[in-house]
Amino acid sequence: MSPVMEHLFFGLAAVVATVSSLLVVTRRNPIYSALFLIVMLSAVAVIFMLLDAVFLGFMQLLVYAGAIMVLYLFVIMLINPRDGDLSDEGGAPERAFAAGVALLIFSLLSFAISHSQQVEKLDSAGSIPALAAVPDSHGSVASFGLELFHNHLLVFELTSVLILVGIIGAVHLAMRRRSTSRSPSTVGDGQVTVDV
Amino acid sequence: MFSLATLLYLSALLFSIGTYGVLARRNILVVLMSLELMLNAVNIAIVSFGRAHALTAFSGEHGGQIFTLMVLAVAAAEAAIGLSLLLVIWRRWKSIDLRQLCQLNG
Amino acid sequence: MDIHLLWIPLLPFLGFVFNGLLGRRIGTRAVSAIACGLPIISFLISYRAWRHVVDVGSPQHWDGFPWIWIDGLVEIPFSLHFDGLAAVMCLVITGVGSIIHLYSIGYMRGDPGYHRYFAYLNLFMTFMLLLVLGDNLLLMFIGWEGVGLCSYLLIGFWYEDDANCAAGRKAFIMNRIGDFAFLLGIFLCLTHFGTLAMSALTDVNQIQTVAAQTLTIPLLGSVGLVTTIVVLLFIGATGKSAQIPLYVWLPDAMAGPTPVSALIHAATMVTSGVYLCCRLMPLFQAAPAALTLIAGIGACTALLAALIAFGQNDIKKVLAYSTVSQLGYMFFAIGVGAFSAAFFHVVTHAFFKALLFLGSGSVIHAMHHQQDMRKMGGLRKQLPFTHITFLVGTLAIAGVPPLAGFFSKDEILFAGFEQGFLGGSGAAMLFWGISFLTAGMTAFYMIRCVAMTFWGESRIDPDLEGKVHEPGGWIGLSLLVLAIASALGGFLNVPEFLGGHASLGHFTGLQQGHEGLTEQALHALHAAEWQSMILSLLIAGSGLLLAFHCYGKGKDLRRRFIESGPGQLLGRLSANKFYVDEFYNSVFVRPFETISHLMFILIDRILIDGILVSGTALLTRNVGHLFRKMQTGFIPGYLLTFACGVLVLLFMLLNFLRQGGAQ
Repeated sequence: MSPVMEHLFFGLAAVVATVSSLLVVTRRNPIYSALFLIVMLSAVAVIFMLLDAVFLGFMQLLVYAGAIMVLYLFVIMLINPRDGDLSDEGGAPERAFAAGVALLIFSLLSFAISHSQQVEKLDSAGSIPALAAVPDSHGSVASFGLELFHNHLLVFELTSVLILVGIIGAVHLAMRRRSTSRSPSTVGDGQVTVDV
Repeated sequence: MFSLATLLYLSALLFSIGTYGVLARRNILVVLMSLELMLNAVNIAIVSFGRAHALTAFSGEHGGQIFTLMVLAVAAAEAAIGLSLLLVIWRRWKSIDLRQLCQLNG
Repeated sequence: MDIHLLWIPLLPFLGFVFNGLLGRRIGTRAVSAIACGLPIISFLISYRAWRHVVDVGSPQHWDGFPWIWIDGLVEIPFSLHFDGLAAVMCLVITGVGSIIHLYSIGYMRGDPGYHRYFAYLNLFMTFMLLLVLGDNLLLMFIGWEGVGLCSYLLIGFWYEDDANCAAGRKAFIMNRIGDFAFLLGIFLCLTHFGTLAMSALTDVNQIQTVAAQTLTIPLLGSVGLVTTIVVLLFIGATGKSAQIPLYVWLPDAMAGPTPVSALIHAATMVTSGVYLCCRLMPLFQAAPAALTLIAGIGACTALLAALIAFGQNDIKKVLAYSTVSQLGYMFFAIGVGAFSAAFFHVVTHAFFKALLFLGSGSVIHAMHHQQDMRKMGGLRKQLPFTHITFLVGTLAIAGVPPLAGFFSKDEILFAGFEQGFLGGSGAAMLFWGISFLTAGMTAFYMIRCVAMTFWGESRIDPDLEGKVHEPGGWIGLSLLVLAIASALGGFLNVPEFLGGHASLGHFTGLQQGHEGLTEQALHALHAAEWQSMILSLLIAGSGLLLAFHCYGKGKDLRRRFIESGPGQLLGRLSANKFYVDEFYNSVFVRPFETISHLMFILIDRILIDGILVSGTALLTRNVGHLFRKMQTGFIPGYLLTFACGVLVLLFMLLNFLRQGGAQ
């Protein structure tokens, strides 16, 4: 891919990511928020790939845009909030205040970025691919995997423990226990049931 | 365009949008999604830094990407737990309004 | 390795464990069999060991096992030593002890705490034997503390009555004061002798090395080290053996069952102070100044207790003060260097005082726990056997030949006489005078006791009339055995001038030899002994006769004396025990209580309860109230706070970076 195309794709992805994330936080219905979040995550995946992180980009698509978001959608459908159930969102002053805080954070961060000598030094070389020419294999499954399992094996294993704990916690929380819920809505045991 | 600074500005922008979502919305689901937004914003910054330092970084060629992968795993676990909690809250109060969960006030 | 020595104290201990744990279940008979059988076996073992010592002529020793040790510094083994002194003491303790155990079967019959009583009594035997047999001061101290504990337990045996508990506490605390000094003495021995073994503490060479050192004590200046040790040990002995100033607990200790008074507070435990002095004889001999103090304290105690005994109407109190007085005699003897006489008096006193106490117990038992002699009188007819045995004891303590007390008391008085008049020591002369006077008073108040109890007209409660019977069985048997011992015990140690061999003194190794004297000097000495003996016979006889007269035909004389000025004063002082208890109360107890109360208010109530406990709670609660307001439970609020925190951190970070860039 030519550098021009790369720049073009990057600009597109950045705009899509920004717009869709704005939509995520402003849509009233969570279904829309979730869908726009998928779009945003895909755009981020594109940015990853443009940064030569091919494998990570695919992971982003598979795990984030795929698995996690499907989980969100499932929950939304399980709950299935009708219009009346949807909480009325805060009024204008509240939003304005939140926007103010967000803006303040953004300005502080941009101030930091614009005044960072490090960033300036790196940026003087131009765009990132020009800055550091990496081999073609960079970000491929093979080289990524080799480094992960050589240098960061312990962290990787610990992550598996974290996820296991997450699973157990999720199962425990979502399970319906007979002893605690004697309400007539209980159907079966150990089975996730949803009152609609 | 496509320079490190640009990427960082994008990251900061997405992060601020996520912050707005977390602060302004009352729906727990949307708040959780905003959290994912913030995580992704940070991921972009990490990957960019990793890419810029790919040849000089102490942590290896793929340090930033591996870090991001870990963030991904944490995000997955967080989503699982957060959504289960949400389910429990929904069952208990028939509401997912953040503002109604104030039983713990002192 | 004479390990059988271990069984002497161990057997009663087994009895204690068994009766203490199972006594409630196994029934009265089994309890009595165990409690009395084991001390009797102990007695037999002691007897065999004694025979062995007599035959072989050398002490028996059990090396035991290392008990406390710090490498290169201290080594204290758990070892037992059985020489002549310990042998006699063991025989007295196990012998008299067994008799009193048997007596108790009759006396304590039907008491709800029967097994508890025998368990304590056995435990007492254990500790007493450990005290006697221990081969170092620390082991002795264990026994010393143990008998104190048992004494406390048995004085307060009928704990439902508050007065008994108070008496127990008083005994314990008084002993505590003495024990503290004893412990200091032990520490001094340990630091300067480097060991606590009896063999080292009685080794003349080592004592001389230590005696050369002095100790600087505030207010007293430089004091000889050995003198300090001896005085400290003696203070320990004043606690246990009821001497001035710590004697006041012993009369109160009569709150316990009468056999306990006989065993612990007359025959054995209270003489352990004397035993301590005899055990460490060379050490005590190396401190003449301390010995003078001991003689003075002993003589004064003898006199004071005898004076108080005049005014007491409780039969056991009379005997208690008589015990204090006799213990004073023993310390007087030690003070004038007559260790042999002191120990001889321990033995004879064990016989006749146990007899007197058991006799009084027999009376009290017959009178259904009436102890006031004013409500007795004329009991001779109802209790003829008790009367006879009691009379034997009385005459023995008064010093009528040839009963036991005569020999031992005569020896003590002669020792004082010898040091005072032959040795030319003024202090000894004075103390001899006091003791001499006390001998007559002893005869008088003991006859008064007998007269009020057994003679004259009956003053007993009309309700009890006809119900008073001689207790038979074990009680009678015990009285008989002890009466025989009291009558003949004196022949254990017949002095040389009367044709004896002073065998007890030689056997225990306490007798001072007369080997260095010429034939002529020996004759002079024997002549002096004859003089002294006649003098003491005279004083005892006059005391006896005066008492017979006063409580017989001469009632007018008695009344006239009592109504006269000095008589009234003396009567009041005596009946009120010279206000010593009141004095202690106002000087020590009250201020202590006041300070304690003050501390209770200041430290406990205000500082600890008020400020520390409630204050902590109050502080926590108020701070909690303050921070409670922050805990709104409103999640967006938390998130907002969080975001603001991030903002502040970011701001600070940037500021920091900018300043770093400026540099």
